[in-house]
Amino acid sequence: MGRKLVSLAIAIGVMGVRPAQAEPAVFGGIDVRTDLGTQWMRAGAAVEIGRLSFDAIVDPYGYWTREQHDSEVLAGWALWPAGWSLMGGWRVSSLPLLGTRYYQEKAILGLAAPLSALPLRHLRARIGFEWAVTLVRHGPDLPTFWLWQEDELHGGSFNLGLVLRLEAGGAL
Amino acid sequence: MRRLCSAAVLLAAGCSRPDPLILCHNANCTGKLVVHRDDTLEALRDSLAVDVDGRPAWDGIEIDTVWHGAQERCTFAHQVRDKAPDAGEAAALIADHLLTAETPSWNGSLFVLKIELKPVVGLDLEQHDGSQERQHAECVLDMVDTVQAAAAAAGVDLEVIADSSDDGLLREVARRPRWRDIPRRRLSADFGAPRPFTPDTPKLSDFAGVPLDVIEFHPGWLTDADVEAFRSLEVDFVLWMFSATPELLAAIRTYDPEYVNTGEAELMRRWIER
Repeated sequence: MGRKLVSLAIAIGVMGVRPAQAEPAVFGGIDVRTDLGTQWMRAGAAVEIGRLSFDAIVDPYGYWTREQHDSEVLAGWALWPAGWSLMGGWRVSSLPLLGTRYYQEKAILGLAAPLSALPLRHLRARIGFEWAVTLVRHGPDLPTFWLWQEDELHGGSFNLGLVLRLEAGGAL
Repeated sequence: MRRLCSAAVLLAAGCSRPDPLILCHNANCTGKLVVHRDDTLEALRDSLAVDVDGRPAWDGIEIDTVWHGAQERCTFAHQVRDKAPDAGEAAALIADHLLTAETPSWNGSLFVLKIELKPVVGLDLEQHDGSQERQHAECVLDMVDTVQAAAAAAGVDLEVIADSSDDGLLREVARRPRWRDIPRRRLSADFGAPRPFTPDTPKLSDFAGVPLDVIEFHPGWLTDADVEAFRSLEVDFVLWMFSATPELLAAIRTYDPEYVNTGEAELMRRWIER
């Protein structure tokens, strides 16, 4: 159900493009996605300085339930003003195990673009396509795997995500 | 299906925690996911020793069998391999485990022996002829005899799953009186990656008339419609995987399968028992 709602929101969101902030700006909001690589809804904050952007995405629901949680940082560079940004970053997925936790650390590459579907001035929406690859997974008393140590690459090493970020904020 | 979530956790987190039986995928579940060790005696020995808190991490072992057409013998292997050991050697190792282990499996009383019958008999992906189907089915039942005798001697409850992507092999197993004499037996249809990624993935309709108890599939490779079709048959599920990714763990929560077939038995056990 959650994934269907996210898909619908993204479909609505892609109907237009909103101009990017020309001045340094700060935003905070939610990050929703269609796949199950992370929780389907997380929280995030973003800073934009010209064409450069920085995002931190955290997982309050995962922290609260002490189940799986996924935290990440992303940096982006707008390929042209108010246009698509090239994104790169790092995600740490933490899974609960008996007496400990297991970690999957992933590099993220992606594209993101501002949207213009929201009517209020201090709200904005961004859509993103992300490709995450698990570079290392590790946990106490469990084998550590680096990507290049995998005997055979397979679908489990990669994750493709369609993301929508709904945020409030504005220029500093 | 057993449930472990307490009412408090249900209210707090809205979860229902699955508690599947864990199977040792391809007799190679030490967690290293070294594919070329799949279905080797060395990996089987190592896997039988994988433990969590002094108990086997798994509830059962999956053994793959290949009928080697050119050598006319039944092998313990993932694909046709000239130097593969006879399938009976794997059964003997498991029988020895049941006779000597203090605890036969994680759950302490039930051991699941899952035997997959691979459909290919030659290096050029040749399929079984009728005679080879019969010999392959007999081979599997010989393995069951070996393990069943050990289980009886050790006082262990044994469940046997005969699994294949080849409906003809399952029909051949199911029609044999020796199969029907197994007290706790299950027939399983096995679905891998969709065509053309793997050549031996069946269609569900291929199994028409086969009294399936179980369907095994990789949740990342099939559509929701496929899985809903499986659900309509009211069978139990085996979810198999390469590595335990967040998506796979989410699928376990979604489908609540009876069995999880994994190469990372310790990791999976510690996730389930968290």
